Amino acid sequence: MADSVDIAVLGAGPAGMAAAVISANAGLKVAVLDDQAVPGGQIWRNVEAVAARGDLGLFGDDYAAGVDAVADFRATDVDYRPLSRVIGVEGADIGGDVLYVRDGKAGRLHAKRLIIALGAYERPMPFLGWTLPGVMTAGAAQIALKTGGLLPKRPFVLAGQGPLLLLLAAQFRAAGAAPDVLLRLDDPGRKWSAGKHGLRALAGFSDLLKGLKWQRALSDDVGKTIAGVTQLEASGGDRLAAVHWQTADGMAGEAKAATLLVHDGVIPNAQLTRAMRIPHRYDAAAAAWSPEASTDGQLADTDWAYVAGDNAGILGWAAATATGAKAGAAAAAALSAKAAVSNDVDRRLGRARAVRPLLDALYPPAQAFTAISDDTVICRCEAIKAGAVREALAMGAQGPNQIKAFLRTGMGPCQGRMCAYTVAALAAEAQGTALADTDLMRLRMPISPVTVAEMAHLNETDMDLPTA
Amino acid sequence: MLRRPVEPEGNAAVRLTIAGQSVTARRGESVATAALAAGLQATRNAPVSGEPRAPYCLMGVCFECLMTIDGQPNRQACLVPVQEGMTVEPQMQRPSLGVSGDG
Repeated sequence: MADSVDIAVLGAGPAGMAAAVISANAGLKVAVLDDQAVPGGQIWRNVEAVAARGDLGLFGDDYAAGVDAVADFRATDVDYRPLSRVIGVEGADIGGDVLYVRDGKAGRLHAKRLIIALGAYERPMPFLGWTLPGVMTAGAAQIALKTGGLLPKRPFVLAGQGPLLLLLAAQFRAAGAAPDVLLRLDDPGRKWSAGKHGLRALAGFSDLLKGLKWQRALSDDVGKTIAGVTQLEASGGDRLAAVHWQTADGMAGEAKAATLLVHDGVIPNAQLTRAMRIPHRYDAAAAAWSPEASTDGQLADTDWAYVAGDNAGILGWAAATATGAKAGAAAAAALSAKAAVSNDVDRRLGRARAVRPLLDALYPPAQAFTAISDDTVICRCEAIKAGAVREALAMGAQGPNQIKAFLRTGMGPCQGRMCAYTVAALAAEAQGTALADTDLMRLRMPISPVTVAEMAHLNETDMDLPTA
Repeated sequence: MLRRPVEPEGNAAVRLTIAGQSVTARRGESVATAALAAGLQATRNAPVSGEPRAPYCLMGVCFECLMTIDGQPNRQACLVPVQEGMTVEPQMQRPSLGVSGDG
């Protein structure tokens, strides 16, 4: 018998859980597919276990908010399928099918409506030496802290920009591992122009206070803070040994390091919506591409698929619970079920939207003002350097798709997750065009590698195949 | 690199073998973080350049943590929770089709 539900939700973070709760409470049959083992997404990663071991205090109020959200989700009769990796979707006459891999087998789930809430990931920030063992993203180290209780080895250098960088620094400090060196890649030139967004941002007053608190906490324990860093380099043989930097006013410095954590803000995880050929727009303020959708999250050019949370554009977890609820309610309404949206939803969303222009103006991606040297690997999977991409462009490559054909950028297992933005930026740089006029490389399904053994189970009926 | 300040005990402890070494991990963490905590410098060599690589994002995005888990190669170690008795190997060789004359 075909596996079928009213609504399939992809992702069990703030948005996915909110969408699932509201549509399940409207009486619909809902399934949630998520690649993690437990609900919460990245922001609330492992929150149930962290609460149980009494460590919530390390991570602050935003993290603790996940306890109730996960409990509400667990209390529903949603068909929750953890450790499920989505590889694609196919449209059908009514609704469509989600293709996914779980437990070594590909499966097909039919859904009348689809809600995509696959979240965000950290903006890849290529610099010389970023592929060395010992260099990882700050978010990765946060995950290791939330799940395994791991801490960065010293000497520990934290580098990058954005509100999340400050939060992470505060969390590591609370866990007894304040960075020895903090390198701030905030663009010093942008602070004044950010001022004009200040008045509007007052609507998100508590968020601003939070930021100030993190800033203050930082100045206490960090060994050394260097502001205005515009060039970053990691060096070592088989692993990281030192970090080198330069500031906008020409000061150079270096420090021995066992761990370098980097962070350059977050971007929507739009792999699936891009592979679905939904039109995407470049938001210059956020410096990111996001799928075109209605205010309820219904994706452009589809009649059955919605997007919610940071997958739709970065607004943070509180907004994600709101856009998740809105998409869940809209999908339920489309199936003639009545969902009760709390009147708090628009207020939460409004607050997040009010503070965002200020945050975007204060924290432009470091890449906007850091030059990528020719020797820097930009496609980690295929070990392709910026110089090779520039050479291909000089030889007449027309854009990211031709660069891919020339060099294989984006053709390794990560399928461009790590290099697509950089390739687009290099193409725009060479052609003298705006990023908004440059396409990201085209994506095709499956959006995640799948083995033949896994695929063999896809249209399985009652025949048992051996598991890989 | 990452360190484990407190060894997991009792029900929280999961024992597995990583690169031939018996290690204790915390229930709920991934194979990738367990490998990092065990002091493994690189979890694989990049198949194109041969350079050592280690987990970078720990959330399923970068594919740098591909390891051989219980005999199955190229698994994203950051998406696989640790389990009692698991055997995990780094992927340090360049891929080969295993036929004579290859490579």
